[in-house]
Amino acid sequence: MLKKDNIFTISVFIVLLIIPILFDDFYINNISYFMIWTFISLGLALIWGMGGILSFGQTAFFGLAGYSFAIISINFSDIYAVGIWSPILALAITAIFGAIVGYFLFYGGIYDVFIGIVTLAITLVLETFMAQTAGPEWTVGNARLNGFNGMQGMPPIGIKIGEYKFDLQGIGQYYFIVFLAMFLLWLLYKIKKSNFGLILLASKEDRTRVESLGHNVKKIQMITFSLSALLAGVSGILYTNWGGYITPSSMGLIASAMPVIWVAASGKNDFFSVFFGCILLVYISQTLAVNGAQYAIILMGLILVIVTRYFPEGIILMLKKLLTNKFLSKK
Amino acid sequence: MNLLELNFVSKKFGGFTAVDNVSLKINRGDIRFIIGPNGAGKSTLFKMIIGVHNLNSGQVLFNNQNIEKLSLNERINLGIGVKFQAPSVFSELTVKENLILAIKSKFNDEIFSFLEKFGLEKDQDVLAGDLSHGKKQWLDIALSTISRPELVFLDEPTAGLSFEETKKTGKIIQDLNGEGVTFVIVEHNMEILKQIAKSVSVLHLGKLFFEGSPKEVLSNKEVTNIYLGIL
Ligand SMILES: Nc1ncnc2c1ncn2[C@@H]1O[C@H](COP(=O)(O)OP(=O)(O)O)[C@@H](O)[C@H]1O
Ligand SMILES: [Mg+2]
Repeated sequence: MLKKDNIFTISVFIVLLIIPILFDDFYINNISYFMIWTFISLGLALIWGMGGILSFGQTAFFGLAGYSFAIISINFSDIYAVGIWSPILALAITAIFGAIVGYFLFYGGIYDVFIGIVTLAITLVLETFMAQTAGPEWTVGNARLNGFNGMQGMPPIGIKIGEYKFDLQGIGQYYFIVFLAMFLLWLLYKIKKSNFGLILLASKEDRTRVESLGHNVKKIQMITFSLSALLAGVSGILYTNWGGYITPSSMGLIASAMPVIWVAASGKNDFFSVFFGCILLVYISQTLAVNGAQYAIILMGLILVIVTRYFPEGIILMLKKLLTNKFLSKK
Repeated sequence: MNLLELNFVSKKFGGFTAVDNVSLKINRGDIRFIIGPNGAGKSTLFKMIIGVHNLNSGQVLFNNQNIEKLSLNERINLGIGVKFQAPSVFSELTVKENLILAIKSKFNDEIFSFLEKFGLEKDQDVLAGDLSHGKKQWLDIALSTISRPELVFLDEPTAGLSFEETKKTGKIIQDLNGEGVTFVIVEHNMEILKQIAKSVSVLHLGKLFFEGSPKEVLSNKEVTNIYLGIL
């Protein structure tokens, strides 16, 4: 049965699917870029919206995945299907790193605002470290880390079979991202409705009570944290593939604040709202940034202040509920 | 055989001893009441047994197994249920989701029989946060008993309930006890104690002060004096 609030999800995806018929490559590539950021946002919605744990350093995983992908694919560019397995390996590294960080956070008894502080520290340490790798001595195999200029020249995601060559670019990249987003949104809704999701939602209210019903909350939080790292990693790899570069500033203070703003402004308790809101907000940022990056940052800050004050639920989620009630409630 | 055995357990908060060398044995099938004035250490004793608080000294044996090194969820999974003093149901989940969380599966039959037992069958899709106080208490008790633990701790299960609601709560506890669940209950309410208690322990200033049958405890002058604040 079609649920009422699925109508928006379905409409948006229908529009996304027909956009390539109506627009040229320039727009398609831009929309791909906006959608790339939805994965890190969905990861944050998972750990923060569902789990009540605010990570301020999702960009650490974004950067780690991007750099891992770059390093691996540059070093093994001659090996068969590197364009397929290097992103997968980079994601695995990121998920494991996420699980390790999660282990120390949750089994170490770090909670609430301290999680934000620790995760922010991790991303800033990674940024600082990568920024000082400018010298020629900083290489991993054949790959130069290249300091604050970042890494370039990695082969794209894709595969070559005999004569036939497929690279994740242009319209192929666009559809790949749309289908990946559909799949992950579906998966996240499944998680939300599962026992796992129930435990996570409940632990947001009262951790001890959930444990007193026999659930291993720390383990569940660790797994969730690792999943959210994985999702941030998806963004990082797609970003690196999209532009052909990855820089330390992608793990910096401003970069790490952005997902928090997008997710809070869109509505952290609803995955679809986060997906859609993130696309809109990245679009707005990019449009403004043409006239200077500082305008975009100021506007995002302003949006955060207004939203927390007047629409604590999130603007997109609120609009979605409003529209659902207005147009669909009489049926 | 004793289901639960405490040997000389103590708990200090800073320099203050909240529970002082308490030893206690609970038999299978018992409904044990633990009474004592506010601040006597009753809730602290509960939390030490289930693992919310670490012990400063002493032993906790459940089914003859040392459990004081286990975490809260590990102890629960041995067959222990608990309801804390403050009603704590998950207000953003529905009544049914609360119970699914507690039973760890989707056995609808069992969930429905519990909804019925606690008079919550019409509320299964209501958010737990919207329930009346009495129904929250019942849902909370249902959460602690639905997985059929051998031993259940209830910290003030009738706080804030009316006379009728208290009686009904007593009846539910008695029924579950008849099905084999052992209860340890902290209460102030002497009516429910008279209604269902099989044995009573009195805690005072962190120490075990008296143990006996409900009759013995209620007729004991010193116990009455503790409650009146004379001792
Ligand atoms: N977490 C804690 N930290 C410090 N003191 C506590 C803590 N919990 C309880 N206490 C103190 O221990 C004593 C016993 O408390 P409690 O076990 O809650 O009493 P009861 O449940 O019998 O009313 C009280 O004096 C209380 O202030
Ligand atoms: Mg108490």
